[in-house]
Amino acid sequence: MDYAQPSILTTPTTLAKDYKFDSALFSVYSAAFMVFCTVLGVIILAPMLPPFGQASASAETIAAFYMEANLQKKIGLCIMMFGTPFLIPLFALVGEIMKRRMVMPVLGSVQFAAGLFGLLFTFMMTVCWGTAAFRPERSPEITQALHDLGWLFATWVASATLLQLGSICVAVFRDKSTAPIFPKWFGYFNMWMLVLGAPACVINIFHTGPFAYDGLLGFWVPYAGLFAWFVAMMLAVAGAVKRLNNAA
Amino acid sequence: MIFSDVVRENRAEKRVPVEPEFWLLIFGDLFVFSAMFIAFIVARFESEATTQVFIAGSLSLNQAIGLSNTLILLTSSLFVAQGLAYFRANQFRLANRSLLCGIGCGLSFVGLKLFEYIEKYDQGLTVTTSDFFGYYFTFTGVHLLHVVIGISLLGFIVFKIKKQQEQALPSQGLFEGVACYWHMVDLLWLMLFSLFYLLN
Repeated sequence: MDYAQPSILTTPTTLAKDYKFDSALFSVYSAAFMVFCTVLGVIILAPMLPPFGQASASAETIAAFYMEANLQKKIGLCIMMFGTPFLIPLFALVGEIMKRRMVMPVLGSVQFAAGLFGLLFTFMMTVCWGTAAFRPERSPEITQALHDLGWLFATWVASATLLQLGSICVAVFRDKSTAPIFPKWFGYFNMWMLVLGAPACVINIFHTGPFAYDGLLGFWVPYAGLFAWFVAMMLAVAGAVKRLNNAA
Repeated sequence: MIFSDVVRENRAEKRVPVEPEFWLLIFGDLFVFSAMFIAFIVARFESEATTQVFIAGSLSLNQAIGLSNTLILLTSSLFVAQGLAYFRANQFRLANRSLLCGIGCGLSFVGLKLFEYIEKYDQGLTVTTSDFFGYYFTFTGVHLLHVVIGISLLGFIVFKIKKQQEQALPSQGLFEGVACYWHMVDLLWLMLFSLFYLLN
């Protein structure tokens, strides 16, 4: 076995040039699997998304929503619960590229930690809806509270994801090398997602209107943005990995 | 005047300010605000009753403050454009003076807006009072957030120019980007002003 021994008088930048990301594309496939599970689980099987009029609905309406096709909702939430962690490899890969190839160790850690933190509340969302679907025959107010709690975990905790977007954005723009690792559009795209996601931080105030968790700026814009961001992340990271491995 | 020189130069050169990818952000933001404006129009013309609520809300707004804020933002846009022209001509002291005037206008916009919010709050009109005030506080609040971000960015450029060292000078691209953003904030306010204050 031979070791690549770096010379003592070396800089982080020269070390970074030798770092390879073999098999890193599996991170991207794993993220695609997570998106697949989300679409199958909470959009197709358990129609939790989109929440038509639920922010202002009565407790009885929400309870009836959980009573109807209860088993199907439970199975959908199972799939969501199983699929959620498969996003972690993508965040880890982006963090490692930022740390090792772009030599921005703190930004890389912030990106990964904020990503994990946002993902934690996606689990909490599934747990809340799963609990609501667990005993739908209980008094409707409790089911309603659990359902609202799930939505607040899902959308209101956007602030963690906003920090993640911000750190990626800073990293893309501070990369002044001649062959940048991430394309410029990816930086601007993240900045745009920051703008789209920001209104999600005030959904706890409204029951109706665009800022409610079923409204235009509380649901449609941030979630369309979120799925577009998953796709953009996968494309940009796959491109970056290919470029890095070809160059090395 | 130096400002018209820059306009002529830009026309001759035919280039996209900053870089093409930057406009993804500007048009993205404009796209979201357009969706918000459409939501407002739809809510307003939903029925006779909602139209009445929106007209009553619009009449209770302080038109004088709205109009002064419009003029203040337009003036600040002029200052920022002037500052960019001075920056391109390497007259950094004058550029900074223009930018500080622009920031002053921005701050007075924020001050007037906060005064207006407090005035409404004292009258018992809050975000949950009616649909109109729900839209009013949230839309102008999102816009106010844009203004505060814009002021911070302008302040950042002033700080960088003030350091005056060659490597610390902000790039022209950064300055242009911030200026374009500031003009967008101005444009959005014009839309908000006509939707909330004038449509009655």
